[in-house]
Amino acid sequence: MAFLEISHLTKSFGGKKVLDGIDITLEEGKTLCLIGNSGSGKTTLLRILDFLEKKDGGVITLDGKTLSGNEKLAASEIAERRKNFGLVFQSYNLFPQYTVLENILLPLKIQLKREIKEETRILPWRERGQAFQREYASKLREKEAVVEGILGKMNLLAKKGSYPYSLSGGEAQRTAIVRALALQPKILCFDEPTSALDPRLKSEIAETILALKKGGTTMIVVTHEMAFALKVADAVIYMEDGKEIESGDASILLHPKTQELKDFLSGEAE
Amino acid sequence: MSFSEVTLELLEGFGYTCLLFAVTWVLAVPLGVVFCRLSLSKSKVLTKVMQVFIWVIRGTPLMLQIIVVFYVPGLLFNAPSTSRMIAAIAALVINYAVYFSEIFRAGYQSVSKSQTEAAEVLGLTRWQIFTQVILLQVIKKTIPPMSNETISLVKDTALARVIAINEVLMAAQTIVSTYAIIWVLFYAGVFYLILNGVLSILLKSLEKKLSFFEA
Repeated sequence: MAFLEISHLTKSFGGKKVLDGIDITLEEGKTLCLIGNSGSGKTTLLRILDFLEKKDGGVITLDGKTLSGNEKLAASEIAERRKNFGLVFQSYNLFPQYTVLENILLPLKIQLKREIKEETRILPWRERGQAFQREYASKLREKEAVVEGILGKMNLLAKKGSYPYSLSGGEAQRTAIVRALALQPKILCFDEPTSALDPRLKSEIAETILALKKGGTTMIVVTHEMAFALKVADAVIYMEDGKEIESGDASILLHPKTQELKDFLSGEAE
Repeated sequence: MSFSEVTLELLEGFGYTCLLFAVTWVLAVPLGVVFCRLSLSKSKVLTKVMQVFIWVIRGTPLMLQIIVVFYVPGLLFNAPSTSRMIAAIAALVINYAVYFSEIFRAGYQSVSKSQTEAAEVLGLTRWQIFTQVILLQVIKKTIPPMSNETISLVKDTALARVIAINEVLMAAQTIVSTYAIIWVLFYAGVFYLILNGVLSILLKSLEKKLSFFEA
């Protein structure tokens, strides 16, 4: 069984099918690139994986466990399952009132508080407060050190105290990547990570994603950049009107079989 | 009438003006949040009710609302007459809560939906998203329009004289009509200028404090 299996995924908006029976398999450590014109359903697929949209039908299985079948899920259950997928948005979506470091630490702090609260629940209530503070402070320091290490690798350490408005597009996007990575999702999803960037910054982000791939991160990347897809993809799916038209390894971008993909690629090349 | 006597009279009136302003502001802000929440409700009935309510309050003079709150309960239901101060405050609170709620609604809706989605993906609960991601951004966005409304409120307290509350303008008018001294009117204006000046400085400094980030 593959690491991620998506079968017969369907989704409609107001009677219009945006995903029409999509099947995807992805092995651990591999990178899948979803390509296709705007409105082909790529972003909707990522949003369904991250529980930002409800699917109409289909089953999503991750690491042997059914993540999303056709059952109704409680909010807490959704939050739990959502942890499996990190999402880096096209427009970064950093929180403007927090610095780079604070943006990354905010979800970690919340997660940490939840975990320690759970751990200290067994203690008598009088000891809980102190134990919580002690544990939280020490674990937060560890997390901060790890995050600063990642920021260093991403050339962002000097920017850790900067607010998002003062960052370049590339720096903001790398911050968003670190923020998603810090939660250690099983799969990291990117929604057109380079489309809002100029060519120099595009290659900067491409290098970052390539480094993640080499590090063994499992990724799903929605992209319009064919050169970038050729570099990073282990698998490629070309979508049109919510349907999977052609799939295979990255070589389909060089030797497409279907006329639709040929037309799409020739359009992209122009 | 000497300058010091006039000052004492106006100061007494100014006390009522400050009281009307402060109590109204303190009550209208939380009520505005409640109205805003109701306006953004998923229930279509509730949003329609709020739309009509907001239309009525914004579409009729505040002076009329003060008169209605003061006289109508007594005339219609034979209820004991409401205290003048309570009636004026109630009308001002409802009126300003409506205006504040519209400012909050616009501010809330302008904070991009994608901020909420980003926070959801990062595992924050709805409450955490509101308190730790959205709230400060909404406050920042709503300070300039809230400053305008706050200054308008100071001036609108003068409408309470319609039910004979002796706020600063009524105190001045009484002196003018009794002693025929014109300068008292300008002197009364100074009281409004001082209060609005202090509020402007406070609100500007809050705005400056939040200028560390761009929302």
